Amino acid sequence: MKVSLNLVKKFTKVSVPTLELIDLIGSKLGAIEEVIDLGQRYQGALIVRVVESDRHPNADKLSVCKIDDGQVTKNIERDEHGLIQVVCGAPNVRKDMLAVWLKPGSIVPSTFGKDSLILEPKELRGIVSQGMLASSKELGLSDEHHGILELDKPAKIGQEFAEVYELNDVIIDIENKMLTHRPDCFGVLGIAREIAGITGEQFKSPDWYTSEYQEPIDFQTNNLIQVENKIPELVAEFLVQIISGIEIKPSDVQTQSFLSRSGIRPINNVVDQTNFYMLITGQPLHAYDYDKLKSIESSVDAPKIVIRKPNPDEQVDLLNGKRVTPSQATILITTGSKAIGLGGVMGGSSTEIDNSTKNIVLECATFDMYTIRRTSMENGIFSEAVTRFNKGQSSLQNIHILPIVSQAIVGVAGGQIEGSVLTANKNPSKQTSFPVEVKAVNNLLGLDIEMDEMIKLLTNVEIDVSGDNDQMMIKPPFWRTDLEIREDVIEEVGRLYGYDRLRQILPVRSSKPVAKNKLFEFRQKIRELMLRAGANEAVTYNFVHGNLIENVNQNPDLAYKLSNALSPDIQYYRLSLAPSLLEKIHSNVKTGYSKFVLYEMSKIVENSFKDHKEPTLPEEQYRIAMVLTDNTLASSAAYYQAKTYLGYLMTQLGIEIKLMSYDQQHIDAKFVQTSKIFEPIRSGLIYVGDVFLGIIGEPTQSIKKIMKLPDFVSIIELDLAKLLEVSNGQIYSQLSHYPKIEQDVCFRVPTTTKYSDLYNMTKKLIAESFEDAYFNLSPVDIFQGESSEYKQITLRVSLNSYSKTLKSSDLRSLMSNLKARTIEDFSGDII
Amino acid sequence: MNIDVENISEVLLSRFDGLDNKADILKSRELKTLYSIIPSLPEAERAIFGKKVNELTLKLKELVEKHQQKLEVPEPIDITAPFDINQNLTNANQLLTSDNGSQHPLMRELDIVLDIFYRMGFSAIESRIIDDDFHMFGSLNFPEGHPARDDYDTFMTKDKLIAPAHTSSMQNRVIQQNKSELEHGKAIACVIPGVVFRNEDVDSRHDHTFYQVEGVYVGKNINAGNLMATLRTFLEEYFGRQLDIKSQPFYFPFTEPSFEFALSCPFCDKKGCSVCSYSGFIELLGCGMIHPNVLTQAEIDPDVYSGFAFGFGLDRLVMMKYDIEDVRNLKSSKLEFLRQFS
Repeated sequence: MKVSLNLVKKFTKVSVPTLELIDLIGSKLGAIEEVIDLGQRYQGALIVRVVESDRHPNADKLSVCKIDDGQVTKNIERDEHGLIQVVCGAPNVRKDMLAVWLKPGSIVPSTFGKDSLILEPKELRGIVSQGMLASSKELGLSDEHHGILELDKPAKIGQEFAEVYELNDVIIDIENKMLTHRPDCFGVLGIAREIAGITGEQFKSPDWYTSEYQEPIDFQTNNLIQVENKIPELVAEFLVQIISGIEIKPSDVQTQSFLSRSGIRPINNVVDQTNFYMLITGQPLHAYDYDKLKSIESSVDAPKIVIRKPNPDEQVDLLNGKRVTPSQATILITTGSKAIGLGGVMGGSSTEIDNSTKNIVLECATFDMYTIRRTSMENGIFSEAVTRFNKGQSSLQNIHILPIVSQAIVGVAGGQIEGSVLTANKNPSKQTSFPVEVKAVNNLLGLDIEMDEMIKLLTNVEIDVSGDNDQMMIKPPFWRTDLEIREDVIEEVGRLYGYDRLRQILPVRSSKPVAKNKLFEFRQKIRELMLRAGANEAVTYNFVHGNLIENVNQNPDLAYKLSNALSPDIQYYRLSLAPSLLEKIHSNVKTGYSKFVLYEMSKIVENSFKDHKEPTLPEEQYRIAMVLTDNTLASSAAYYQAKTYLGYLMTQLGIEIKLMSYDQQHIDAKFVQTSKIFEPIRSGLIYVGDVFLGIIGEPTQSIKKIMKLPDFVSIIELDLAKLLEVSNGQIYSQLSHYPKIEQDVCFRVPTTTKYSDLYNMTKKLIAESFEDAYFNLSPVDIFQGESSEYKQITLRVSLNSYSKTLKSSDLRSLMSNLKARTIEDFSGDII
Repeated sequence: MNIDVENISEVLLSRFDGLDNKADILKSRELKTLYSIIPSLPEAERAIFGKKVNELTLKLKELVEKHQQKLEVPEPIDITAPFDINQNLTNANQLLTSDNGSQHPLMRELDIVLDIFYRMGFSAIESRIIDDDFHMFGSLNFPEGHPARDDYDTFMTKDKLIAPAHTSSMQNRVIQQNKSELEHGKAIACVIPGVVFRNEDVDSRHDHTFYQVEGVYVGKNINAGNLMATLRTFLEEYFGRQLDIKSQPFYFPFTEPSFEFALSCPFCDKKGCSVCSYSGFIELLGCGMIHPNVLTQAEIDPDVYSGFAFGFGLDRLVMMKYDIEDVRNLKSSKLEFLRQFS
């Protein structure tokens, strides 16, 4: 919302310097996006008289002028009469006219800011021009560029141009977002009222805005026009006024200038007045050409406006030249049979005001903010009217605004007001009063202000407050549609009093310790473990490209798909974490990293699994995934690198896992999509007892190929919530006073023997043989000769008794038991 | 003509083993010769001979395919073993050394933030990554079709679910689930970190996915001064120094009054630097007193209890702290980036 401070000053005095005011607006009204010092743009723009204007000897369309600047310009070339030579291309330049001169060294105001055009003395077809005479467009006032600006106000030669049209102004651009609930602040009047309030001044609205309308109002019909509102629930008020005999022409320069500095393009005197009053009050108005309206339905004497919803496939041609087919929810302005505008969004071209318009229908109405917003979005129209209507303008302000705008139009365009104001609605709604306890205000703000002070703050901005017994009765003025409940008033008091003056005291709490979030704590623990293991934590997007899902053999139908993603890269919620990490391997390898472990802890969703507590939503599954690569190990199976990390993590978390071969029936339903990434014969399912924990293994060959992965890549993906459930923390073995004994055992077993079977058998036997000891059983070597049917597995037994020093003879019976079991259970032997 | 298909078959099969590109066997001169002979044979022999040649070709094709499959399908392994065959303790996989390791700066920062809030008496719960309209908007006093919804550039799924655009989507749940605290005379104090999504163009300052931390505090006689003090205390603890704070009125449908909270720039002491865009202040948080409609939706009586809520972006905090030039680095998984954060 761009606000001209000069316009504000027409409604309130501003008692503080501009810089201080800007700070106050920031701390008491809302964030400021930009402050523009308008006057700066017009430095070097002077009022001059054209003393001579002669045809340029070398160019038909140029004139050589001598201008009089009242001798105020220093350091400029003058002729013997003290006049300055300027070459001008405008057809309207003539002797004795007053014009605006931009002197050399000044910036053309319309180019101020970006790509500023700085004028220099310049030769035009052999004749030097000292600066230029400016058009309305060059001065940034309008699009008018047919000739130089004709002053329409008295001015003195040598006077600064900015002074003549109140251009020594400051434009304050307040963030619209902050004012979402304040329809009144989309008008200068509302901002002026707030500025008075935050500087502690009493505001007084102009009489025309607040005084009761005394004239009669016709209902639905008079002899000139009829109005019918078929959707009063969406159009709370619809007033019209006929004005006849007007003359359309451009607005005066002052009006154009106020509009353009506020970001609105001047059009003609009638439209400009409706826009000017919209700027002042926040209330958009619309003018229809009465005669065009009448000609649409040739059968009737008086034209008719019917407000209704569109018929199926009904079309309307808009002022912006587009033809739209409004949806069923639209508020359509019609003549009954023909659509002539999108109510509150944009008028239609069939009743557009043009240079030949003589009679107009002026509309001042209130449209439902939600409908306006939808119509605006459906048709991609974001007009000034939409910006204001979708904040919920008060339906009670129309009757104050229509008459003043009608008068203003007659003032600039002549003609006369015909008949009474006509309304399409029966009873406009009324604002109701409500009580607010002084204590409630102080309690919520943490303040201790007296009722009188609160009343002063509120009445300064014209909120009607009466106070009695520590209770205020609030009667919101008609323009404050945002004031409905106690908290709305508390906000007003706090804001106007100043939030920076609140007493900052921490809330008192009990000394009971807060329970930490287990999962956050667990993730922190895992991060520490992974850091120690040289792994790198990644955070990747929850959304993935459909191609990634398909590339890793997953089913996109099971993934939630975004309906409004800007890019295909983020069209689906991912079904598992590992693919996002696999995707990051190639680029890292390319930048020179040959061995690394990337991991992530995050959540995934799949549309087949519903949340237990909130079944309308999917279950969010916590996962941890890691991908590992190391090209220095490329001769062995990548699987074992993942195995090393899995083993480390499980030991640290005190979890004993069981690895099962990859077969469909043992894969947990929630991991079916995840399992698609893995190469079955090089992968295993991780169980803890009956609990499925996740999958470890290598990606399939096709994934390796399509994702340009190095040969040596492995993956682990685990259910993080279950991991937390089964983790036991550190496991400690008490130390022994006696020295340990170590012995390597070399098993010769058929190649098909599972390592874990052998290991578990050994472990069990040791535990049974030495109850009073702690031991460690670790792999030393696995050897298999070429095309041999046997492999040799060497395990190291390290044993500590708590009660004595063990000798190798103590191991004898264990060894013979082991041998017997190896022969019996594995058809192998110990060598 | 006396050409023996069996003989040629033997020659080709013995050559097959030595070929680098096994498919070359199908292009061999001998095979071509066999085919070229067929038309010249007497009709009686033609059928038998042709059949033999075809069988040979099929056999060779099968061999080539089998070989290729063998290349595609890796050898089975013993998944229960600690390392591969012919590896031992000394040459088997080791963990990488810890100097390679790193924690993600966002996650590490979140730990620091959580630690402060724990000490201040807040519990923590993570926000959802997929939610519904009620939690994103309805429960937060955004009426259907309200223009304030436009400020959130929300991603929707085809199933009409929502990728939450703020962690406030958890307010209703947190307040409702902890109602019993209020009944026992205590306050609800909870922070809600989580990932949120905005459907906007990505550049060095904006990403469609980022982390927020929400805070909710509900109790008896909780006021706006408490909110200011809580945020100031948190920020001073986080930055380890005293700060000036500023508050600007703001508009959120789910709080009233609403504020935007700015702190004096901890990096330049208000002198002006690139972090604060030379303004001396950094706008960091949105906050306010919880709107009575939000409390009512969570079955809390706004005449008895009041509360405040706040939210801030974690990515922004991390970028400021380490002077990270591009927000996209955070989710890039570039090791060059990650390994700078231990």
